[in-house]
Amino acid sequence: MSTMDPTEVFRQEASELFEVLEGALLDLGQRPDDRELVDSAFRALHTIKGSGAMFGFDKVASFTHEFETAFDRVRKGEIKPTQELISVALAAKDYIRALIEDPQSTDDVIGEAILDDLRRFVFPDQPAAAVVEVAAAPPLAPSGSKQAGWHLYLEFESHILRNGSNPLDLLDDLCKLGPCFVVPITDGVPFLDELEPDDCYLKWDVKLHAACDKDAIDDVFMFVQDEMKLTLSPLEQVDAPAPMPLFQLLDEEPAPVAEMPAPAVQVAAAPVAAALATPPAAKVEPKPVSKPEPKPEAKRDDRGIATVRVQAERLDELMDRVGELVIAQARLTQLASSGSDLSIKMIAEEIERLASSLRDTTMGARMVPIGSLFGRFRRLIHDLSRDLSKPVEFVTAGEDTELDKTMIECLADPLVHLIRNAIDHGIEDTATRSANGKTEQGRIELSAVHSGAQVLVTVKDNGGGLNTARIRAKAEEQGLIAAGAVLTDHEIHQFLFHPGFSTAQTISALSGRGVGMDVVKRTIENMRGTIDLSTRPGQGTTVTLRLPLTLAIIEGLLIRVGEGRYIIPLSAVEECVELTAEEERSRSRNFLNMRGNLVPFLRLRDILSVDGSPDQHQKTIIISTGETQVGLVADAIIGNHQTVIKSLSKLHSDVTIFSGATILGDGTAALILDVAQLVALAQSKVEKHISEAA
Amino acid sequence: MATILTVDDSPSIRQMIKVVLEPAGHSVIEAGDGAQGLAKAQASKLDLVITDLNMPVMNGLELIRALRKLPGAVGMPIVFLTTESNETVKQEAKSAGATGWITKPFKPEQLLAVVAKLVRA
Repeated sequence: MSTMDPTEVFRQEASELFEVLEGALLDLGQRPDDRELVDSAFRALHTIKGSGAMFGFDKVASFTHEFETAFDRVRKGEIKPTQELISVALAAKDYIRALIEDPQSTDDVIGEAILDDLRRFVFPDQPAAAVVEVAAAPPLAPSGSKQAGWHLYLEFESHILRNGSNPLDLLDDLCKLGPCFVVPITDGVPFLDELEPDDCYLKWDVKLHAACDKDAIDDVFMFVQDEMKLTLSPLEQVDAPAPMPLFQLLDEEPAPVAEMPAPAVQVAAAPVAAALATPPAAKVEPKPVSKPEPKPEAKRDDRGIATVRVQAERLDELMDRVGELVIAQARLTQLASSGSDLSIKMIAEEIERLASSLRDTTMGARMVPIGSLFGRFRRLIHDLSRDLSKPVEFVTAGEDTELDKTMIECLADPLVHLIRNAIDHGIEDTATRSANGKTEQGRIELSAVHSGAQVLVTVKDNGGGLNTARIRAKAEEQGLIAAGAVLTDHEIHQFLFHPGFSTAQTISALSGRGVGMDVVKRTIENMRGTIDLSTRPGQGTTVTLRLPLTLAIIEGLLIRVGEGRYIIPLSAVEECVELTAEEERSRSRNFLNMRGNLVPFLRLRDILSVDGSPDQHQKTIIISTGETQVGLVADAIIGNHQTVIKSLSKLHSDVTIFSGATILGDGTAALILDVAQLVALAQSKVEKHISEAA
Repeated sequence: MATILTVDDSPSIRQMIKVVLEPAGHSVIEAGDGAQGLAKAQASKLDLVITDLNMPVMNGLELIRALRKLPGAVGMPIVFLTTESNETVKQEAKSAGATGWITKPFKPEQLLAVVAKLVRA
């Protein structure tokens, strides 16, 4: 960016400003009293004017100036932004835009006509006023040729140092005009206990031996003119030749001398200034040019609208590279930790830190708010509600929640299915609703919220809820379960996700053709997400989608079971405890007592069919998917691991308890445990246990 | 040589300041409004601040007043950019604590001259 031509930056900026301006003007038509809109339009104009002049767009600057002057009356509240005025303002905006983007196509006559229109609205009582240029006062020429220089007396206001002006620098500048003889006047300096270190007490008497313009002197003091007393009188030619500057430092304070001819007390200003201001060495020895500090974010957050469009594939490619970098970094870290070389360890730590921040930044670049997706459903719900004659109120929450770009795209279809189902099957018809004492208007809530490293997207309706009996009957009819089999409600509801399963008695154009829920589930699981249904008869159904923030890299907990190593997504891990000897022995009752709560646990050795004897102290990792906690018993916990997810091949797609694989630091592979599946497995065991007991 | 903060809501002005000052050996930090500028000024040691006056969120005058209250910014030169040649604006900014000003539009040499005037090696 630093090499970018500022004019090009201006063009881009201007086109963004035009959008701001146009938006503000259009909105102003709706809300003529909104001060914020007027200010924002005015600011855009002001910037276009100022920057336009900077980059040689003189016509833009002068036209915009007129525009701004007119608009200023709106800003001051002197006139109202009527529709007519806004139309003219929009035309003016288009004209400025043309001046910048395609100057050839513009015609001054058009510009004048627009300005006339503007003035007519804004200054109806007076003809367009001509701008009177006030010429600067003619400079005072140095008087006569015999003048040898200037005699100056300088007295500054005491706050001058605090405001960033340095009188010594000013004296320095004065010395650049010609040889100077500067005498500080110290009579204003108070006693030490009254002295304010930030105040300026010194006054100066300066003889400038150069016949320069008065303007040149004024230039030196241009910023402090109002904060100083400057008396200036021409210096007559003196007989003695102008003394050479004495490059020597003061040994003692000079007496306050106004007019003393002896050159002994007249000291060259430059060395004094230099000695007081900065060590002269700084001038001699140029410091190495310091690199401008990196500031990628600075650019980002400067303006909400400043964005760069990047092809999605490039971001994907970047993510892949970062993934590979993270794997290589893990290997480096492992190598470094096994050695004893401290400097390698330091570098490894540095690279670890950089890789992890690079990972976060890259992921951040792929994040987009889910709100854009939510917006699409408004229309869908409107149409569905009309077609099915079911009035529905649509409520959304958490539009700002950010998700990986790819996931947002993948989510669209599943959400369409869920919303269709909610209206078609969930929300009852108005007659039923009023019969049940509910409002005639149904309600569908679509919300998104961050929960740890996951995003929860819920579709909630206040309809009739799932008909468990009917689902069961349908499942029996399709031969999915034996009649009379003992199943929990939760298990029965899972049949909804079975391919080809539909309980809708009539197939409507919208849903009920048996495609949908299984596809939804598959899509969500492909994203490493989970889908969950909860329902209350008569009160409605909530479908909760739990989605990982990103598709590519997760924080994992590396554990060992037998000889094999496995990853548990850290987002699902709640805590790690040691299995007590008692719990260890109770082979039949697989429950842990966690602070009074019974938590079922699974022995990974059993599930993964690991032979051999387990380690002495078995560790339990408590994982959860929201409400349900499950313990996983492993041989050892190795530690955190940045896990780059590689999907399993098709051959292994029916292995349910693994969601993927990753490569460890030493180059070997580790399988990633599928938390949702393990929790489901544990739950079904618990439910069996309970039903057997009953 | 010097660390200079440019505060302007216009990226092109910031870019202009950057391309003029960076080749002269200064490092340039950017901020898009007064509030960001204040945060950056608190975060780093600055030799000069160049700020626009008309900005969203926190305008230049507010920024100058806030900067002058920072303990580290006593005596730090602050220059404001102004399109108006009108004196009231200048007076207001000066009494807020500004050191000097640059009138827009400005040429690179004018910018360099002001920087050289207020920042000594």
